[in-house]
Amino acid sequence: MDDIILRADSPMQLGEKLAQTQEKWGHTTARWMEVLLYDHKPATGLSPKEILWRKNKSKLYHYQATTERTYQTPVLLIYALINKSYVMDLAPGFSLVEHLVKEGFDVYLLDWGEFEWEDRELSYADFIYDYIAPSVKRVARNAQSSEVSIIGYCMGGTMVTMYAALFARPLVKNIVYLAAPIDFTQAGIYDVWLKAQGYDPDRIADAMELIPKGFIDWGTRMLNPMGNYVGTYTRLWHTILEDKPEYFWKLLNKWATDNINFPGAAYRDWIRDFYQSNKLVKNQVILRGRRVHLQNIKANLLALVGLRDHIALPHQTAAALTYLGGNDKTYLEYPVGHGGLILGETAREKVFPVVSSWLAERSIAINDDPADNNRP
Amino acid sequence: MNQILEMEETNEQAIENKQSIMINPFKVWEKFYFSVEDGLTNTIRDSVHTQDFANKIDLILNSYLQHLKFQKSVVATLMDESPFSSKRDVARVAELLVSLENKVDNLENELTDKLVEIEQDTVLMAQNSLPNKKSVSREEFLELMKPALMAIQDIGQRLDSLENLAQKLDKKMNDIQTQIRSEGKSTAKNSAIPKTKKSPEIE
Repeated sequence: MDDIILRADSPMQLGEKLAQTQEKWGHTTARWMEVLLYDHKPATGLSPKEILWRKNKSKLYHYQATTERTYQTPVLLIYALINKSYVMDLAPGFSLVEHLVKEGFDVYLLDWGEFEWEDRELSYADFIYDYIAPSVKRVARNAQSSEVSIIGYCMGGTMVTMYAALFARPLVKNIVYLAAPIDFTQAGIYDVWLKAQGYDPDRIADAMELIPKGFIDWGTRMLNPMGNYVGTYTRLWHTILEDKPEYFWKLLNKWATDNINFPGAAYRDWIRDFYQSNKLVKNQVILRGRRVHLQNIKANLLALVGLRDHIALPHQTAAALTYLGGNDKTYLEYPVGHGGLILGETAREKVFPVVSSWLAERSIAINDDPADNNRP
Repeated sequence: MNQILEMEETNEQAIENKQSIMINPFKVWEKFYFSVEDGLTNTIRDSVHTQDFANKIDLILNSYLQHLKFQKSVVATLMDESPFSSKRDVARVAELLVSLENKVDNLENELTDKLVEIEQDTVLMAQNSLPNKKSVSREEFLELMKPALMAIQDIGQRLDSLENLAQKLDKKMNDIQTQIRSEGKSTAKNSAIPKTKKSPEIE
């Protein structure tokens, strides 16, 4: 109440205070427009790395160790086809990649690149067989390990599941799901939109061929139109008014709006086979003639979910505990949204340490005697 | 109601303290706006999360897709008759490059697999050929393994040359891609200038 009322000893001082508020609002609004129109986007994906392998537009990154490597078992990160690779390596101090490297893991990331017109026919079968499988093989070979750990974020987790069910070697020892949908029943708002009678993924893929990033972005923003089209910008204005740092807003905004095109064939599979038919948990997904049996996956499993996630609802990820084989399964919830598991304070303070300690307990430590370390 | 009472109380206190007070219109607007925004956010979110909204948006989407398909077919027909290369033509060249890259990649992969196999077999052979000896010196082992090591070295050299070849090919493909892109851009810019011949690199 107090901040609504201006107090002063004289009317003159009252007028001065009012003028000060007006001036601050003017500066805030000017700075707000400057941030929106001219400011550069924050630098992302800064962890030092080398390219281990490349194919088409994809690159397999190997992150350079900043501390002594402690674990023989390498960690491969796979993210969604609609994002850019920096979502896993956002900014110094807020990067899952950086955290894992510091903890002594040998870290790799499969960067999908940005899909163009010639990639419109790429399907999930192509991604699993021609991109993920060779990457895992190269990671194991490079790390001189017969087993690997894989972290799958969002759709990346779904793809990891398909890979792990189809390929026995190199052994996928540990799987970490970060907001990865496995069961597509009761998928929240997507249930209403994507299962509507008039929504035909075949027609969309046929007409668009390469699904433009704007279409994907629109679909995500429409989950909360006012919040995403207006609220996010007024939040920035408020941040500036209260003299709080703009950096995190810029980082989050870059992450949220920087999508890539989606190959039409993969889009068709994603909507029709996963959201509309829920084939994954029914063991009905067939890739290049081979059926994806979830019970084939014997890897140790860590499933992390955000309770406020409206893109991959908690129960969609939790389903992995029911459908996947294997005995070592852990499920943890955090009071965050979809991005909160890899971005922000909760991610840095709670999620990253849990991921690294869970992996550490299940990875082969590097011994002094090299004979103890198996070659693939 | 509470706020009004609080304001009256504040007013009385200010009169007692001989202070001047007034409502800050900026803060009032800020509070009003953000409370309205919160309400609107919830209302709009609830309204888009309905089957009715989904049906209406699908109608618009399907009309757009129909229009897009028609537009694409018209452009495709025009481009078929045009002397310029279309987006599809450029994509086709890119697809060929990717498939060539795949072939080299598979070749490298197979060769590396073979190399690993040979290495493992060699170790096995060494173990089997020395059943009675509990240990061998490094020199003895190297002498025994000489033919196998030479074979591995030879394969290693071949692999290196293959990698060099792959890198050259990769560079060449990048050059071609760059050229295709720049050609695509210049074609778009200079659409008035007729082009009779494709670039020699593509051919």
